[in-house]
Amino acid sequence: MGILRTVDLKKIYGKDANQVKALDGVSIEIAEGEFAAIVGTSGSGKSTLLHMLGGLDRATSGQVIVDGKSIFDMNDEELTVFRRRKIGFVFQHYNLVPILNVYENIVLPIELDGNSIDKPFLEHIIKTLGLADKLDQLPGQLSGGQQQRVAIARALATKPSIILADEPTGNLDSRTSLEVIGLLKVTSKRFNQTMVIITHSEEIAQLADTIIRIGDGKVVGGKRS
Amino acid sequence: MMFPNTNKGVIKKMIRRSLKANRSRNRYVILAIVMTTWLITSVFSIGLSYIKSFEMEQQKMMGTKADAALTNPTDEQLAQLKQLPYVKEIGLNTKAAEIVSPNGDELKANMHLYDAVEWEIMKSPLMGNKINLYPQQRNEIIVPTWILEQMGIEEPEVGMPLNLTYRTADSETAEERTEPFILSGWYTDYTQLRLGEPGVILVSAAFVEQLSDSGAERMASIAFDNGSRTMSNIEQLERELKLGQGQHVISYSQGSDNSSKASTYAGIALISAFIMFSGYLLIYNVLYISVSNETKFYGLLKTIGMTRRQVKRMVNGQAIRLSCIGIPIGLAAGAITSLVAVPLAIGVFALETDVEISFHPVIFAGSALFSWITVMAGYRKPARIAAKISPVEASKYVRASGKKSRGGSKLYRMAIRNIFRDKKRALTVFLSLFLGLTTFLTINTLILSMDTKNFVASYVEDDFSIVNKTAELGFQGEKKQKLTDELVHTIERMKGVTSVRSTYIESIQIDYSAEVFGKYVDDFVNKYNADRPSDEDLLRQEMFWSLIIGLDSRYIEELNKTLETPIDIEKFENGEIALLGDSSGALTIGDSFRVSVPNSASQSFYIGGTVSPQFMAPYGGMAPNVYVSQNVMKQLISDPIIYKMSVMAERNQWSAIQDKLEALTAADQGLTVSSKQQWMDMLDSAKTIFYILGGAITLILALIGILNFVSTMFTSVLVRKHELAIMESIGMTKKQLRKMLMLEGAGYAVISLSLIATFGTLMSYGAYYLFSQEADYAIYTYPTIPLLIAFALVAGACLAVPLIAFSQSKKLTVVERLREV
Repeated sequence: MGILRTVDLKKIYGKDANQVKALDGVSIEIAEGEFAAIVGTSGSGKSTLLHMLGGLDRATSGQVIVDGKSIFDMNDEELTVFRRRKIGFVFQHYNLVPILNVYENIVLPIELDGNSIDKPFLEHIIKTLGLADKLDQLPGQLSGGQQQRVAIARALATKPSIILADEPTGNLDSRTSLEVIGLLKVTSKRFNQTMVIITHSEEIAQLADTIIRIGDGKVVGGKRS
Repeated sequence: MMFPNTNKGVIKKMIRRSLKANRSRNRYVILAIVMTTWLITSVFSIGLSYIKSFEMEQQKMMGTKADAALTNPTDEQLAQLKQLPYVKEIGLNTKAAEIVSPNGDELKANMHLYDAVEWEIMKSPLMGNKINLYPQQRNEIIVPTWILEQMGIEEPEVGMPLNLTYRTADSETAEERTEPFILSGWYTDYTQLRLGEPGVILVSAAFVEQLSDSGAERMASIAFDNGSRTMSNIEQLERELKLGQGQHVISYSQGSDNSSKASTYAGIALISAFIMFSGYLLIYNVLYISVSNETKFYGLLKTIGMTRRQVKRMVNGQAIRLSCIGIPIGLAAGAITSLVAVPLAIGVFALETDVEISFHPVIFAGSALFSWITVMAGYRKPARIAAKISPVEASKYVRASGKKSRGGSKLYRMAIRNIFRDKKRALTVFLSLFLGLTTFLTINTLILSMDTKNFVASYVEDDFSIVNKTAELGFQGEKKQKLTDELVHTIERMKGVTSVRSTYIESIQIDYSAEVFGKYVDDFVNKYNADRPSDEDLLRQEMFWSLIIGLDSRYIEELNKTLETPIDIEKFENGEIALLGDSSGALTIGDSFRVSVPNSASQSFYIGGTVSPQFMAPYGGMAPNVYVSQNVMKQLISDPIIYKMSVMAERNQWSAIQDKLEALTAADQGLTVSSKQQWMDMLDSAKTIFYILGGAITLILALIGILNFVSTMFTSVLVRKHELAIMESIGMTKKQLRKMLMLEGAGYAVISLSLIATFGTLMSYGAYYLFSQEADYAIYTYPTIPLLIAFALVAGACLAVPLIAFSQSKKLTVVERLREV
């Protein structure tokens, strides 16, 4: 039984003639500790799938089961708390809270939970991601790559079981992209985290343990390594 | 690596940072809070000060802060009074002696001793001028200024010697003594304004002791615990004290107080509600827009894991901090305004007394509270909206506007679409503009409709009137003939005077007859909500009393011009018929009735007609007032007292005549002169004050409406930065964009101004209609000029703001603006 599972997931927008079936019955399973890549063209539904997996949005029908719990049975508040403890997100853009500096952005989910910060662990992540000298800066003062690294640090800081990344390297040049993916792979292995990345780059997809291909809202292929 | 200390207040941090990042929005919100608080404080302050001043004034005219007084109390009764739980204070006022005037003329004064309570609590707070301490030494006295003036002392000095002749209260002995006294203080006696009572000279306890007179009259002043239940308290007192012969309890309360207080409170409440609502609309709008622009931000926070409650706390936390800045500023501004506005406002209503500005903490605590409520209410929905924003918004690229576009790229069509894009925003802006400007319109209408000439014409008949106050109902002292035939001649000879008429007055009894007066009494008790006495009771003399009024027959001549059946003047003159004051129609012309003057003659008359019950004498008893000719009056009553002299004169001589009349009556406290001109002047100044105050308040309300518009318009342009950049990138010139925005502004202006011109005018007319029911002298006046000015301001803002907003945002190039997400 994988840590992440969907059962006949459907997401439909609009009505009648204007109906858009973003997800049309998707059933997948991802094992704990796996590095999975979801691949598809624009409009294939991959972002929607990721949103569902993270409980950012609710499905029209079907289930999403995370670590044994059906997340759509939870109410808004429960889901939010669940999310901040169990899942780390990295998006393609606009990841960081513009009014907080780098350090504050990283520890935000921990503080929202009211927990104390594991200083050594945090130090380790920050060093690994090369952010030690940037802690006081605001997101507006960083480059795209640097911002993504901060986002990753934040995603890792709460030690979540699952990390969901939506095109994390979409805005980065090829070298930085490989760096970032490499980092994600290393840390996830290190802390035994499950990683799900959306990408349209075959290159990056090949680095994953599992590939799930999505097209027109359905699973159209995949590969397990 | 140095980590900052774990600060448990992450939400507090978010609050602070959010505030820092949104400076211009903060300024708007603070401005709205300041204006709302300022207005509420001013309204509360003016209202409460008015009530306090009015109360003070009533008390000053009564001369005492006591609610009631018991005449000739026994020592046992005094002890009893001290025990009663509903009696708060008891003061003792002893009349020790009467002053004897050297020339036997008008100087009427008594010497009184006040005990500590009477002095400190009941009397001295109401005495103006220099009173210093209560007389200590045996021959120290405090004298009212009007008596000093009569004695020829214009500039009193402490320590001045005064010789007075007095006689102890027990006039049987009638022993007069003259002694030198020392003036230790003096005071302005306001009760003189109301009645021609004898003056009160305060003497020391030492003085009274050596008088060795046991016949001194005493009066106990009583202040109740609950001042609004005076009547029932007095009734209870009368029961519990078992009054002796010649004892009674005088009430100092004016029943009318409570109703005018209630309506003032109601007025304050209504205006405050209005202000709060306007403030609420503004704050709500500003915040709604602010939150709408930050959906990505809130979505991100939700994604990271901020719960709804935490988001609400963050948003409301900003409200609290902004209030902590805005409310004190508003309170301070309100306090300053009160210092200026309150004396202005009260000065209209108060007579010769000082203005009491109420700086009671309740005003400031209350305004802070109401302001707080307004701000929190305005923040509520936007906070909820922010909290509800779904995390998925963070990753959405552009917020959908939710409105299907209806083809047509004509600039004006786009403009209209944009105005109604966000229906709720549009509604709030229109509502708030409408509210502000309609209030403005209404207040202006009401004030301008107060036609002074009309008022004076309906309520004041005579150009001048001189009234003998001793003949008025409620006068405590002796009635005296003050208006003499000699005076009449003197006035008649004054340049410009066209006529002088005298009106006589006296109290009488009417023999009750059920056939003649039955229905009249029924109607009377109905109108005044009194108990209907039985016919047997009415046959007893004392119940059915009224006034007899001796009229100059010229009044009848004038009256006849308006009547269908004219009154027979000859019969009126010779006493066959008399007129009765009645408006119920319950009396029959031709009926006979009998009038008796106490201890004097009696006479029968036929009812010759009816006049308004308020004619010449706006008071009376249960029986209708009787109007007879002057000759009849003189026959019936020996040396009847002239109550009023009505003088008509040419307008261009009014000022001169006023001076002359005042000079003639200056010496006599019992005569008062009033003139049409005085009334008109008073009303005009009242109008001006109302205008200033009302105008200022409504101007601010209107400003709130305009501010709302400005903020909405401004932000809507900023929000559409991206959209406008796209339009520019596909070929719309800046000029075209500006034109579109101006059309939007013009659209707002046209729509709101039309609403105001139509519905607003209707509402203001409605208010005028209600007003004119009470004030029948009002003439509907549309405040065209003030309204045009307001309209010009609004229109100006509507056109200018979009342009300013646009010019701010177009500093960057198209690409930069497109990239800005």
